[in-house]
Parts: sequence; structure tokens; C-alpha cells
Amino acid sequence: MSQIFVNTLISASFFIVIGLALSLIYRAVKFFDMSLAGIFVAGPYCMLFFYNSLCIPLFFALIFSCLLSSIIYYVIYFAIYKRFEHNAHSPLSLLLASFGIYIILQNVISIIFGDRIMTIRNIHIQEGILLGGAMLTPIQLIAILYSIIFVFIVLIIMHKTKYGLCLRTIGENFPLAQSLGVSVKKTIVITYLTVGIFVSLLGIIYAYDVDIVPTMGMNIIMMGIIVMIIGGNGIMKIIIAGIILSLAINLGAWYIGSEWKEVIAFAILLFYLLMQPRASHKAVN
Amino acid sequence: MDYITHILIIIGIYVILAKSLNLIMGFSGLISVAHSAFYGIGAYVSALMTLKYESSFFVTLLCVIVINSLLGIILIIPSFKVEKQYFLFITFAFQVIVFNTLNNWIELTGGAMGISGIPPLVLINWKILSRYEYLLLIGVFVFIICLVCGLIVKSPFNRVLKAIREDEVLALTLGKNIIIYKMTIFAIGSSIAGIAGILYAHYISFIDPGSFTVMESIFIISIVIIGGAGSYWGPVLGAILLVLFPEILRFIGFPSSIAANLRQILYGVLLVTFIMWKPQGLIGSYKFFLRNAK
Amino acid sequence: MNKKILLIVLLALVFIISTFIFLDRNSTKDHTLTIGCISIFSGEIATYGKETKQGIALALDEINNSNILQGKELAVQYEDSQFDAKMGVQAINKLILVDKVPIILGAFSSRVTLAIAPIAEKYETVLMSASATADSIKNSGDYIFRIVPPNKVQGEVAAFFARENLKAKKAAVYYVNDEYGQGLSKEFTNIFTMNGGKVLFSEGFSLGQKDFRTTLQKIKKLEVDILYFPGQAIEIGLILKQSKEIGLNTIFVGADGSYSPDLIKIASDAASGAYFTLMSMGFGVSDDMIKQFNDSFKKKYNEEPTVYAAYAYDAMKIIGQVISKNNFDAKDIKKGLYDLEEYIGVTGLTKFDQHGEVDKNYYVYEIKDNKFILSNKQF
Repeated sequence: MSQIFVNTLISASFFIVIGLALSLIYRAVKFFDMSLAGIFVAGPYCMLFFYNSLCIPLFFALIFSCLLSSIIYYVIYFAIYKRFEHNAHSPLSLLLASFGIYIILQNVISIIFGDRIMTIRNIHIQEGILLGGAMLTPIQLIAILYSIIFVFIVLIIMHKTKYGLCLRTIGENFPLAQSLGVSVKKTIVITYLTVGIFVSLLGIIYAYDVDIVPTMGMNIIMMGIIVMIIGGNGIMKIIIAGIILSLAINLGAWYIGSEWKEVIAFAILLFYLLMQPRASHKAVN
Repeated sequence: MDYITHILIIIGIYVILAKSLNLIMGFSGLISVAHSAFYGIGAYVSALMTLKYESSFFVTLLCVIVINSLLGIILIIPSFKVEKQYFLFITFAFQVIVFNTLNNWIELTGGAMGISGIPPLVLINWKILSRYEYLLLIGVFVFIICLVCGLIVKSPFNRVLKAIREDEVLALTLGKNIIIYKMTIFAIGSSIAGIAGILYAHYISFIDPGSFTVMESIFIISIVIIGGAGSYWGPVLGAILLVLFPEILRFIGFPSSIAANLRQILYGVLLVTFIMWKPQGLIGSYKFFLRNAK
Repeated sequence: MNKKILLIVLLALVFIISTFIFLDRNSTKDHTLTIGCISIFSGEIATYGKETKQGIALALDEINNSNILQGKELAVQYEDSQFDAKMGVQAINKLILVDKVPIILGAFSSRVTLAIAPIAEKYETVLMSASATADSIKNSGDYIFRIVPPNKVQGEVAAFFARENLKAKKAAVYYVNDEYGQGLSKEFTNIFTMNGGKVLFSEGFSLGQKDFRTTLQKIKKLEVDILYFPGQAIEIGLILKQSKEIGLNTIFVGADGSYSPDLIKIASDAASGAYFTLMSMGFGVSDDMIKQFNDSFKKKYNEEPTVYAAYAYDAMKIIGQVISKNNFDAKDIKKGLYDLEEYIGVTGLTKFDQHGEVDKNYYVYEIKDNKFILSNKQF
């Protein structure tokens, strides 16, 4: 039983980070940016390049990979979304376009690295740590800690920094933000760059846990979207949504079978959306 | 000659899929990522019914239409309560659930192994065995569906749909019952996708869940957008182009490992390019997606 | 209006160009006899296709150099099915309709073979697999052959090995959810329980699944003596790795589908000591030929041949022999195969029964020093 609890914490960590990342982007540019899934995958593949192929020491490889992924993410924003934000194009079209960009990213990675599963680690496989009746590998522990740290960072930034104030204002009322002289452009740039770093790092942690294939980004992102939709606006709500979703999935996997994980997650989403009261549902207040 | 016939049949199937999605997207402005799920349901229902109960073509046709219409109606219900991007996620959720059910419910669907040895279609006494007969059948269906779409376009029904697409609130004030209209068009579109599924299953004689994924839905969406959402010939043009191009790539001799990825990159690039810079598609006139669409 | 005309012209051009390319590809040279081959050349387990091609190419060299085809040259048209039945269907359609081959060596995996067999039957083209082991292939048709023994034998060997050699009493079965895995798990369970063992757990996993920990934890609680896990290399490698991480200590017995260097790459030292059943080589029957094969293979490719490469080699040699004695069309080749009197090759004795099946065995291999080696414990 405690194993289910631990498994829940682990996957919740991933969901929460992605959910928060997506919601930050959403506040900035007002649409669900699916190309983030490509950045999630780009991180570990950059690691493959820097750490495995070029044999750069671990610490620097990490930094280069996250920076590179983050730059790629910003370039996507600059080349494509920037031209069309906040005016003519509906969030729907941007959402669909971001799908297209994800497809391009994923297939470019496939061409460069091949479709075969790749491993970054070259350490011995060891038994996990026993923690109160449940097994936990070191990397999974890192994942949990990472998500906690990330949540704190987001909380601090959002409420204690000027940038955070700008982001919140843009998120709630864009015209007001503009008229108050908030530097929208700068805020968006910062958002994209930082989210890129954190999400690619998350991808690297994930890859250390379960190895990587080019197509793994979409699954995780969808979990993040579910968490964001169910969670709604507040950071706390997203965390709770992440834990609930993760719990439901892991309980279901234990009792029904792990091949139904996705179905459980999407059934929850479907149920939630079908149960909405008669009003326009918005992810941001 | 045989191979060209094969290509034409595949184009025909995608024309049917694109035209039916065009009804939904182009004429009521809803983006559905669930189209390949309805396509797949049609294929599997027909395959299973003909294999287990040896049911006739018309019976399976009826079943598929009923099943898809009902499911379509259920999906539409929340669309009034949520914004369009959330409707997209609803259809995404439906698509994933259908795919996983096809993949995991092995006792019913054979799971990832798929269903093989699907018998050829029998229309009353005509057993459709050769490729050319199949081409003829597809041609007939494409013709019928184009006619049906054409009728819908010219009808007053369509004017209401256009009104809904441009401005839901206004349409509401005109007293039109939007719900019924949306349901009808979504049911029709999804049923036609199911019909394409039937045609596909009996042609290839083997189906597996891998043909009915989210990517497949996005492919069909790309056909509609590139051809021109809301136009009559747009989906036809889009289908021809998007099906032919990878075939040409294959003959030029790209190694097949790269060819599949290149093809997907092509779709991605075309999708993004058209959405961002040419939302009316090649020959459409409705600038789909834009906030002040004109 | 102008736009539309432009587009119609564009379309017409596309059509014309494609027809030209198509027609050009179709011109055959008279002295080349082309057969088809469908295997896994890209995607997650592309090592299988590479090994198949190695074996076939070596055999092709020998056939063409020995001139048993009297001046004609034998060539192979390779098509990629990945590990996907639909792509296999596209591949066989192209081979039959465009390349018009009378016989196809393939597919590699059971699931693709089962999907394309009806098509081969329908178009009366011979299909011969050097590696697909699912039981139902036996009844796939008159034109379907294979030189590997079926899963019924493989499951039996695994079960007897577990009972007699490993003395296992309690087993868990975790199989890949397709006909290959299901067939093996069923056969294993039957024989294991018939011989006094108990199967405490039996569940399937999907191809492409990456996280098995939940189920492995359930198995760990049962404290079984062995875990029988028939599946493909990637998933099995992950299962070995994750088992070690969660502390599931038991004996692992798997099947031929996992036989790939990718497994060792993923599981590294967690794979040590695991057993796998593999289709038999002709040890004790054709040791000279095997040595010769190993030497030529090493000379050509600078690496050791795998069992799959050996089977592909033998299949190609058999095809070469049958083609040399018959007309180059499907019906004659089919008859030639049924009439084949005991072919002795690196995989032992091949003779097709009325279902196109052969009578061969499976050997047990184990992983030592990051390599698959023939185990000294055999059933």
C-alpha cells in the first residue's frame, strides 16, 4: 500500500511541474502551448549529445542541455507565435499550430537520433532505497524533491518579484496590463526561457528514470493539461489536482491494470468537462 | 496499374474523411481531434460484425451510423458550456479513450494484433473482389457524399451553421436552436467518417489500432485546413495532395526510416504554415480560426 | 479562377511525374530474379532487420557465386515493416503488385506475418518466415512456410526447463499482450502445471509500455521461484532493470523475441543470469557447416553471427536451391518447397510438413558477461 503512495508522489511530481509550467505559459500568451512537449523531449536528447557523445562532464552537460532546449523554445516563440499573439489568431489556431510544431520537433529528433530507445545513464543499476515499506530509486527521489523546489520557486517568483507581478497582471487582464506600462514582451521572453529550462530539466530527470523515445513528450504534456484544466487557476489547486490525478491513475493501475492508465486520466478529464455548469469555462480567472 | 488503383482508393477514402470533417470544422467551426476515432469505430464494428455474424453491408452501415451518431451527440453536449479549445480537449480525450480501448480490450478487438482476414464486402449479390470493383465502389460513395455535402451547403440549414460559426451569440438571439444544429452536423460528420472506416477495413482486410491514432486525426485536420476549410473542393484537393506526396517520396527512394519522419515533418510544416499565414487554405475563402473572420 | 487553374495544372504535373517514376522503376532486367524480403529495418528493434539482411546477403553471395542458377542472378528487394502490421501490409502490397515477386522472405515478427499471410494467400505468393513463431501461422494458408519451430515447442521447453532444471515450484507469467506472448504463456502454464508446478500470477503488458513497476511489485509480493516473461527486447530489458530497482529477486526466463543486443543495452547488469529460449541451431547435425558459416560471416562483417542471422541465411539458401530446380513462379516454388527432401543447413534439418511447418527444437541460452551464450543447462 505504501508503494502506491510512493508511486503517486512520483508521478504527481511530474504532473505538477508540467501543469505549472503550462499554466505559466498560458498566463503569458493565452493558449495551451503543446510545443512544450517537444522541449520536454529535447532536454534528454541534448543530454545524449553533450554527455554521451561529446563526453562533457555531467554538470556542464546538464547546463548546456537545458540552455539549448530553452533557446529552442524561445526561438519557436519568436519565429512563430510572436507574430500572431494577442490579436488576429484565436487560441484555437495557436493550439493547433503548436501541435504542428511538436510534430516537427519530434520527427527531427527521430531523424537525428533514430526511433530506438536511448539511455543516458551509464551507471550500474542498483536496488532502490527502502522508505517505509516502499522502494524508491534515487532518481525518483530527485524527481519529488525537484517538484517541491519548483513549486517554491514559482510561488516566490509569482508573489515576491516584479516579474511575477507582471505575469499575473497579464494573465488576468491584458489590456489593463498594457495600459499600466507593463513590459509585456519582456515578461513573455522571460517566461519562455525559464519554463524551457525547467521543463527540459524535468525531461532529463524523467529520462534517467525510464529511458527515452522521441514520442514520449505528448503523453506527459497531456497529463499536464488535464491537471491544468481540472486545477484551474491557483498554484495550490494545480498541486491538488496533480495529486488526485496521480492517485487515481496509480490506484487504477494497481487494481485494473497499468494499460488503462491513459484511459483513467482522460476519463477523469472528460467527466470533469462534461460536468461543467452552463458558463464559459476559463483556465484563468 | 494495380498500384495506381490502390492509390486512388486510398485518396477516395481520405476524401470522404476530409469532406466529413469539413462539415464539422468548416461549417460549424468546431475542431475535432476525434475524427479518426469515429473512423476506427466504423472499421472495427464492420470487421467484427462481418466476421462474427456475417451481417450484410447495409446492416453494418446502419449500425455504424447509429453508433457514431450517438457518440457524436454525447460529445457535443458539453460544447455549449465550454470554449472551443476545451471542446478540442474533449475530442482529444475521446480519441485517446477509443484508441486505448481498441488496443487493450483484447478479447473483443484483438488488441495491437489487430483483426486480419476481413472478408470482402457484399452488396446484395455483388461480391466486391477485385481492386477495380472496389475503386468503383469508392467512387460511388465519394460521389454520394459530395452530393450530400453539397445539399447541406445550399440548404438553409447551412446558413444557420454559418451564423453559428461566425457569432454564436448572435445566432442565439435569432432564436435558432443551436444545439440541435450542432448535434446534427456532428452526428452526420462522424457517421460519414465511420463509413470511410467500413470501406477501409474491407479493402485492406487487416486493421489494427495503430491506424486510428491522434496523429491520424491531425492528418485529416491538416487535409481540411490545407485544402481550405469550408470550401467544397478544398478537402478533395487536400486529400489528393497529402496522399500523393509521400508516395512520390517513396518512389524517389528515400530510406524508409527517414521517409516516415520526413512525411510527418512535412505535415507539421504545412499545418503550421497554413494556420499562421494562409488560414483559408489553398482554395478556401473562409479565413478559419481568425477572431474577426471574414 | 486563376488560382484554381494553376492548381489543376500542378496536380496534373504531379500525376505525370509520378507515373513516369513509377513506370521507370518497373522495368526489369531479364537476367535478374528478384524475390522479396520484409523485415524490421527501422524503429525500435531495427537490429533484427540488420541481422536478417546480414544472413541473406551472405547467402546471396554464395548462391550467385556458385552459379546454381545458370547465369541468372538472384536479387532481393527489401521492404521495411518496422514492428507494425499496417506497414507490413503496405510492404507486401508493393512487393506483390509493383515488384511482382513470386516469393517473400518474411515477415520477421509474428504479428506482421499474421497480418500479411492472408494477402500472400490471396495473391498466390509464397511467404516464408525465418523467425515468426506464433502457433496460428501454421494454419495461415497453403503458401505460408516457416523454418522455425512454433511457440508450442518453445513454451514447452521453457516449462520443462523451469521444472526440471531450475526446480521451480511457483511461477509468475508476465507476457506481451499479443498472439506471440499469449500463445507462449498459455503453453508454459499448461506444461508447468501438468508437471506439478503452480502459476500464481498471469498478466499481460502492452508493446510500448515503459513503466512496469506496479505489476512487478505485485509479483514481488508473491515470492515466486521464476518469472516467465515472453516479449520483445525493449520491454523485457526495462522489466529486468525495474525488477532490480524494486528489489524483485527471482529467476527470469524469457523467449526468443527478446534476443537482441538492445536488451543488454537497457538492462546492463540487471540482465545477468536471465535465461531465454531460442530456436535451435544444427549442433550435432551440421557442425561443419556451422563453423564454415561462422567463419565466412566473421570475414564479411567482422562480428559474430546471431541465431536470427543464421536462420535468415538458411532460409535464403533453401530458397536458392528450390529456385534452381524449379520455374521462377509462385506455384512451382511452392511445390518445390513441399517436395524438399530434408535440407541440412546451419539450423539443422529442414523438411516441410503439409502445413509448411518444420520439426525443430529450442535451446536455452543465458546472459553472461553481457552476452547471450548457450547455457550448459539444457532441457
